[in-house]
Amino acid sequence: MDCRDIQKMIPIYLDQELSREEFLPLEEHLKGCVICQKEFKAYQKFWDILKDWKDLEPDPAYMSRFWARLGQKTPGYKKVIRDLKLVFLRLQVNPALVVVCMCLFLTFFLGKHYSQGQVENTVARLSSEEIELLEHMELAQHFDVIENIELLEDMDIWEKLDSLKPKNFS
Amino acid sequence: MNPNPYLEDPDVILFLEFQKGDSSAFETLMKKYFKRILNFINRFIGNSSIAEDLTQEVFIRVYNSVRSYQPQAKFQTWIFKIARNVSLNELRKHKPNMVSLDEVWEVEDSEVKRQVQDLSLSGPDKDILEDERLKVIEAAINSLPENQRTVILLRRYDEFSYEDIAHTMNCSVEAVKSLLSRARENLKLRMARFFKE
Repeated sequence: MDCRDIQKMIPIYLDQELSREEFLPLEEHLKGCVICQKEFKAYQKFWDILKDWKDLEPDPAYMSRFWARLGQKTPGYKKVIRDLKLVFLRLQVNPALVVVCMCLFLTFFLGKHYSQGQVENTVARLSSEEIELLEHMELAQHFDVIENIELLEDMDIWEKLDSLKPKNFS
Repeated sequence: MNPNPYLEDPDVILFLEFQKGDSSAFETLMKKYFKRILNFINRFIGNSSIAEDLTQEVFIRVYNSVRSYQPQAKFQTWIFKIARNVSLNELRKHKPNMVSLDEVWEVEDSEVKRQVQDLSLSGPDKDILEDERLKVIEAAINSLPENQRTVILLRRYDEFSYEDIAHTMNCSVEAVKSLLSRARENLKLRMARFFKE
């Protein structure tokens, strides 16, 4: 091995990564070669000097900044999915069971909402006279009697109308 | 079927815990690696003002890859690979803010070519000399080609083994030895005129 080969191996020798076959001849050469000894010292010196470049310290709030930044980057729906997944995993809840419960809840809720909507639609179609009638439930109780009477054609019935009024009607 | 050797890595185990839903495992990894990644990126790109931003980016990538993560390397080599890629992307976006050792530096109100003093001197201007010493080191490392810079940083500041460096850079151990050898030769040449023996 000549000096050029030895000098190429010096950095690896400093890292203690030479094989035994390379290590022994290099050490032997260094013992007797002043030029290579100088090179060895130079490599050692500049390698040590690099350590003068001290580490930066991270901002103490780096963790909270990370979570805030992650929240901004993640689209809203993905955040919901991610959070739900974490909840399922932590509670060890079967997602299928949750879906079934949600379906049952929605069925009940929508069903109730639908029937309520039907009532509201019916009320919206009523005339003002019919609404007034509903507001006086006593009249409504006798609605079927009134409905059966052909009031407009039968003057006799009009004359006798008073007798058709329920006793409690006011 | 051979067992996955990386499953013995404690950091891989932590990340797999995070994959199962334990977010405290991710925070443990972050506390362990944040400063190391920050300093690697800072030294690689030579810009401390955006180093933390890029470090956050590295951890966001790590976080977002949890679903598809399968251990194919040590956690350390994997995260530093991401850090290197983020740094390279940044360098390719912007012109690197390199300090040239022959740059004309301002001294107070006049522009003169700085005579960099013998940095082996100690004396009343020790702080100034320390600052110049640091500038020389930074400039020397920033002047290296990217692959040589990577091996120097991983070896000198993070004490990676040659094998780990090879995995991080997707190259052979022999290639790492060759890169390190050339990188140290270049550093010696660049720094020798400023650090008299």
